[in-house]
Amino acid sequence: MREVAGERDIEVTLPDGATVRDLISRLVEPRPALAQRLLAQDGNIPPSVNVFVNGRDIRDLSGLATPVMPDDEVTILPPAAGG
Amino acid sequence: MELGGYADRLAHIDLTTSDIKYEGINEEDARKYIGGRGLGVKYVFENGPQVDPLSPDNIICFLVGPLTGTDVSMSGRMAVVTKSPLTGTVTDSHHGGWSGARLKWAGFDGLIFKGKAEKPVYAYVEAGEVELKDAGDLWGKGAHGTIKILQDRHGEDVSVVTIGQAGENLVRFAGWMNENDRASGRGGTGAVGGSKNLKALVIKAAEKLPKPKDRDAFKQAHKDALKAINESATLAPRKGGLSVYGTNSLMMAANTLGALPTKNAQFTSFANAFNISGHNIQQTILVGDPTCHACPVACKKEVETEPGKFHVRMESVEYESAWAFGAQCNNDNRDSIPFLIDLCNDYGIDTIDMGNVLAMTMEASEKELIRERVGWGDVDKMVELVHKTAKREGIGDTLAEGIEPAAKAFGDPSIAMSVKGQTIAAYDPRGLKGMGLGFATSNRGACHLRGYTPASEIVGVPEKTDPLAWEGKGKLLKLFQDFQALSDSLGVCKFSTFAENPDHYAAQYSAMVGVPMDADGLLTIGERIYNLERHYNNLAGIGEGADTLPARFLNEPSQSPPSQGQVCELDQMLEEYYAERGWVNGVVPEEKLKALQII
Repeated sequence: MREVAGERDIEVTLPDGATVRDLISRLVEPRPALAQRLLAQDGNIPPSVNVFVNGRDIRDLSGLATPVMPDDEVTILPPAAGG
Repeated sequence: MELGGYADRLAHIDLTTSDIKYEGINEEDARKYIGGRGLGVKYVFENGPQVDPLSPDNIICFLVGPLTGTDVSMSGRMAVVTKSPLTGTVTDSHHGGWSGARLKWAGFDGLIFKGKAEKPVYAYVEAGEVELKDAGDLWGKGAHGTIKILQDRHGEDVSVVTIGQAGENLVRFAGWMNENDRASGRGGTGAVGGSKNLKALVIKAAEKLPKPKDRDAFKQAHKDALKAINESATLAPRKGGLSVYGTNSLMMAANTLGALPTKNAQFTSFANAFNISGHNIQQTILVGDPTCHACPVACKKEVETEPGKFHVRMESVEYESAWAFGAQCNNDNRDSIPFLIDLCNDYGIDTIDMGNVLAMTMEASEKELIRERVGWGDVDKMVELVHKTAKREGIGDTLAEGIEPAAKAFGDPSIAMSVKGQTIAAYDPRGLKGMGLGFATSNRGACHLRGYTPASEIVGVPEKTDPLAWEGKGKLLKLFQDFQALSDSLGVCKFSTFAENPDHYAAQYSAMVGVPMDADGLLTIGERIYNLERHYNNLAGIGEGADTLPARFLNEPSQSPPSQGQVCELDQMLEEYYAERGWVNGVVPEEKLKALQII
């Protein structure tokens, strides 16, 4: 992800009432390569990306409409499985 | 027998008399139990549930399924089935690479050993024949040295499946290793080999892929399954998480979920998880992506650590092993982990049990239950204790008996993170409820691979479920247990279930074997296998009350978000699960056995 973004740290500012969709939009708008990785053509999160808000998978919350509060931790990981 | 995919040949080897008999597969058995794990459980059941696991009367079966060694994707699996000296249950433990395929290509569906050889022997297998050979010069050697000697002797193209010193010394969680460092690690099957003076199998084979009964149907079924694999976010070659990062891709996900047992499961997340994760390993010490027979995924992750005392180049760092020696022992030293795994592979010790035993010993030391000082994350002490366990020296002799006898000897059985004598894997039941139920109801003791509910709870296959919700997990787990009993019996890797569904399995089975089969029919066979295992355990005295979890998961709430405050609601899930299974408090009733045509 870092290689695709071309940066180690990215700072974005979100308005009050922001959602995961807002966060990802701010991240990918100036970075088309990152957009290809994080968003499917239909604008949703592809199966190859897992997004968690405070450790909760957004698929178990409200998906891209999940609210992001100031102290929340958002984690983006590739799909993981094994044993 | 008319069924396709089988070699239709078993060898029964009496090690006491050196007598070897050959026979075909009973077709009714093949139709009811398929092969691999399913047939192995049938044979172990017929040998009687009361047998002492380390006595000559126990049998140990090396079996493949009708899809092993075929064109089916991910079909390189071999099952080792016996009565476990660790749990007292029937157990099966599987490995990949090419040894399973080569056993089929050497003309066998299985080798079944009984008795005890007067002196150490190994079995040489070629062209439908088995010969017992003197292993006197191999006894006392590690798996890696044994494999080298036997490949020098018989050619680099042979497969070698061997025990190390741990199996010889009857360490109750010793396993079998092959030439690709793939392990049949769990359940102590290596100790059964040691008890029989059986050191190794050497399998020489000409590649001879079994022909499907219906070639056109097989071509289509194979194509459909491969398409599912290639489109899977998890398995897609060089794209999916498992292909890119290996199984250790899970370290960060489990940590994020508050489901990573840490410091002997006193905590549910590990601050330094990244250090030991597949992500860090992929960026720093990864040198190769080995694979197994017919597998496009290549989830193995070969590494070479930095020069120094933990320098090693080895075949793969798996998630369970990295967790067992890492977070569970509060160890964030990246390079110590491949070193410890490699050491265990050479001794032929199960890394999951060994790591948990070390973590339990660390807690015993912290609580001053033992005089030995074993600090959390003390990697030098960990290495020392692996040596001592394999050789049964000093405290290692106690540890070699398994986690529950050892914790009892230390004076506090509650610090053993185990079920039915076998230790847990890298999933905390407070953060992944389905896995908690899976540990409790596994027929071979705590195990993540009997029914891999994290596929649903983390990956979202076949559908996403909430890892913190307990409702519905009984039904979900039964489906996974029945489905994955099929993977083990057909001879394909369980990871295929991240992409393939029971319809894919049914189509490939039907075309290869020549028996019309749909998904429901196949799942009924999986259910039959699971119930026969449970019936065996019930007859062996493992009945009501045995499906439980360490009290820590039931009474001590998680301290890390998002599982913070959670315990595992096992009783509620068990009620739901037993209702789905038609069992009475963990016991299979006679009417269920009859309905499944077990009796």
